[in-house]
Amino acid sequence: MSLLRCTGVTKRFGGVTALAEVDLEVNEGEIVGLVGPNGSGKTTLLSTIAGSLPVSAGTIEFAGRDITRSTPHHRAHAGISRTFQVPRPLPSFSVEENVATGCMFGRDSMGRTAALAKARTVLELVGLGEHAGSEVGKLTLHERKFLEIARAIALDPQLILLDEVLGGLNPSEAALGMELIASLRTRGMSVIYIEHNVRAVSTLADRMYVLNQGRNLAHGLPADVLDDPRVVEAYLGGPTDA
Amino acid sequence: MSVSSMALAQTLLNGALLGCLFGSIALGLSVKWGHLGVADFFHLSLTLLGAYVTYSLVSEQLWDPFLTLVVTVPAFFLIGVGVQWIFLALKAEAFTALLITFALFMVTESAVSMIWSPDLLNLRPMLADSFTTSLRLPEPLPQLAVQPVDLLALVCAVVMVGVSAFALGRTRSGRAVQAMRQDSEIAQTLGVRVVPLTLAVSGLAASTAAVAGMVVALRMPLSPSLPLQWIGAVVVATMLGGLGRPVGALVAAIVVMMIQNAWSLWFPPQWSPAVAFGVLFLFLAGGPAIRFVRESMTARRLA
Amino acid sequence: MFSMIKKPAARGIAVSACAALLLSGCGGVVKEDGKKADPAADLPDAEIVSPIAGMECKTDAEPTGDPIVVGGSLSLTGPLAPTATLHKAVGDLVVEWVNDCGGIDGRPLEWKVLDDQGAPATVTSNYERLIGDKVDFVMGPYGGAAALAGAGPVTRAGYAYPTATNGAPDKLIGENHFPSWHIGGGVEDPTKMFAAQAQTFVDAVKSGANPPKSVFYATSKFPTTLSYTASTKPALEDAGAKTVGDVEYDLGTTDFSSIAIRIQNADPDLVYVGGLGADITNLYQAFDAIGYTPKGIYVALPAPAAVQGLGDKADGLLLSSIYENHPPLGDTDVAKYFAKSYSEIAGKEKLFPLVETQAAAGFSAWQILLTGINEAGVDNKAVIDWLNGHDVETLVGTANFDGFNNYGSDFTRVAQIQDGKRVLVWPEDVAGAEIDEKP
Repeated sequence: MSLLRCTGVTKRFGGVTALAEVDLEVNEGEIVGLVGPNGSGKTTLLSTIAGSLPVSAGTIEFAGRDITRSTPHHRAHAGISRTFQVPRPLPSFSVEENVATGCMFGRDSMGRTAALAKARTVLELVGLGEHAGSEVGKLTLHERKFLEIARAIALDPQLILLDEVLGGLNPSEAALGMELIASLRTRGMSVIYIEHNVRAVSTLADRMYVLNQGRNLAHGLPADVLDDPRVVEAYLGGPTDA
Repeated sequence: MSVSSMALAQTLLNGALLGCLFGSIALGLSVKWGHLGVADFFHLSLTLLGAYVTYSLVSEQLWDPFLTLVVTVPAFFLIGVGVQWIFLALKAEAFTALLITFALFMVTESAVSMIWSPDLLNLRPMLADSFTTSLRLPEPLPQLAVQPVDLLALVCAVVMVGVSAFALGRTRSGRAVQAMRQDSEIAQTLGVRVVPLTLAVSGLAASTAAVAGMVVALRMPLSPSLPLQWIGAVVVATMLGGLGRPVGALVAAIVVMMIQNAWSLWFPPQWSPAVAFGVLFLFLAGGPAIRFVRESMTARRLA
Repeated sequence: MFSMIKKPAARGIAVSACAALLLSGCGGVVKEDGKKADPAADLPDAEIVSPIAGMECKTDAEPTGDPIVVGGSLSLTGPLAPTATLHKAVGDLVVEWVNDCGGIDGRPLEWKVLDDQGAPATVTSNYERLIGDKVDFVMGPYGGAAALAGAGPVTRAGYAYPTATNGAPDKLIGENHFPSWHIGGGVEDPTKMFAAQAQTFVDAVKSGANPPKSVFYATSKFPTTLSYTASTKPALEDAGAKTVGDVEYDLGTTDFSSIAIRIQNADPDLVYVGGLGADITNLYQAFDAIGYTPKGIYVALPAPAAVQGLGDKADGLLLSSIYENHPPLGDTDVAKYFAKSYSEIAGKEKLFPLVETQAAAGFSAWQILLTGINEAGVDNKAVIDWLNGHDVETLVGTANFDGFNNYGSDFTRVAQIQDGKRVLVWPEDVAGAEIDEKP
């Protein structure tokens, strides 16, 4: 059953069209990969879904309701959460407080004590349990990336939008990350997953969408998409795992 | 104790209690500046307005001063919400907001002159003797006196600052405010309702002006230009205390007023307003200076 | 988000709790008989008479023709507004009064006021504008700096320049200047002006039974008050009063606690406050806080409402004055009608309702101008010549314009609060009572 449906989503910044009539659909329990060359509009699309950017045209439906004009916090309450490509922890909060903030104001709003307890469980899940009380400034890059995921999970979303959470990680860290993403589905979440590393996406994703210059280029099963000549060409004619 | 050490103790006590009043005013400014990013000079005008409204309700309607809070606190909450709503509607940058609050500051002075007359208004003659007569401290300090209104200022300051600090640090809404201050976009994606929260914080900050205004009305004669006399001490307290820190603002106000008063006892009183800024300057200059000394000492050790 | 509601609720509960606590402790904050007594309540009714000598009041004649326009600039907003508003009220009253009396030579009087917000530059441009608009006469602004700022364009255009408040008396304005209130009247040497007013004060305190032997000076850093103290201190020292303390404070200071403690430690016979506006209220507040009552106290230029607001505590307080509403000066028909109508307009404007120095000086300035117009006609040069050659009967006494800067008769007087009323106590010819000095 369809959880998210974007129809004809268009985003213009002044005279520049960042997204042109993009369609995208995510079903319940599905991991959808979103790939494309730099500047193809992946993050912009994510931002329009999360509500940080208003669309210029098109509609976004979530769980059967039109959320095109909803504010970011409404979408968070409705069950959409996101991460940022460059981690943006709240700098003066500790690691667990960052996550607890998501617990407090997410889909199931809760008091501070309950939120802190839940935050610790989430941190255990992403492997940051021992850093719960740390300052966020002391975390390494991969820990920050995982904190970003933990905070998104903390909202207890139905749909989680992951923006290059594995970028810049070494192979063993990336492997941990992929395990984590795969586990989200078993926790009842659907995922839209942006990654530069097409190979990683194709391993995890049930279906893939490819954007190029703000337009839908191809979508379907990972294997089919990767074989699509248009996709190969879009990636500068190079090998698909570039 | 000798006369002069008694005098110093009394001066410090008076300064500390006056600091409580300025701390109550600085509270709202600090919260709005620190958490909403608006250096709201209009907050001082609101305090003045609170004092005048209290004056009118007490002198003309013969209300009990505390009863006036039933009217002023909710009314000021709405004013605070309204002002913030204007900032949001205009999508005002910090500087624009500063200019707007400054304009409101000027306009309020004129408006107060027009509504209440620019002449001096004093509630004190109407107050019961028991409220205006100083109380002697119990043994071992019977020479020291405090005014009941100053005790009221103390209680109001401690309650408002305490509640604010608790709410900001320990409650869910307080955490939302802090999250919003650090990164408003992130806070929104985490589900924080930024707009209503901003309006509510502004409203609550303005309500504190109603309470501070009541104390002002009981404490001193009113004239429309009073905020100009407060602005130095209040801004210094706000900055010294750390923006957005209620307890810091109160403590800083108390310390600054104690230093200012002690200064006036031994040195020419006309310099005392400069003392507050002197303290702020030392504080601001002191940080980098200490860091510089520490770094150069480390460098020497390494070399 | 629901816990947002907790904050005001908790605050409300806490505040009412502390309120209840205090109320039970002090037994109520407001006096039972809360309403203030109206000091103007017992003013007698008065018949309308001509506001100046040499003019007849024709109440049945409606003034006709082109109005005689008097232009003025006043600080209706800004820091000087409290007193400037009073001068506006006096002007409004005079215009209505003259027109009720049939106008001047049958022509109505009109007055056009511009707001200068207390900024001297604006005062200058306001008078330039008024003169450009061809007003017939001008009335001076409020405040010494403003009076000087207005003098330039007014004198250049050849207008008569009546003023009520000249706080910078040693600055020359010229032969077109007609002050109703000035410091050091009749003195030819401008450096001696404040000495003359100081001598009046010293004579006043010496006239009583217990002249002070020790004095503490607290002076606001404001030109006039600094000059007051600078001249009074040597005069009092010559008269045998030792200086036991001398401090200056910033204009607009509200916290006097340290100064009060210094005064308490020195415990002088007289506290000489070179203060203005609300200084006296704030100082008494600081006295109250430490439970101190000064033996004797003088304050230079207090706001009337500030003194009134002190209530019983003000009894015995000395202040500089040129007029208080009592015989002999207050006994004329003009004074009575002015007192009554002023209390009405002041009530409306929420000003102190009794005529005292400022209102009396303001009215006298109008009397000077109107007498000049009435005697010499609607011509500034003729008015200037006439006024320079004649005495004018005013509310505050007979004015002449013979001394330096046209300062003639000396109206420097000393008043005291006795039994809640303001009375002149010096010099004897205008005094309503003798000075009361506690041992």
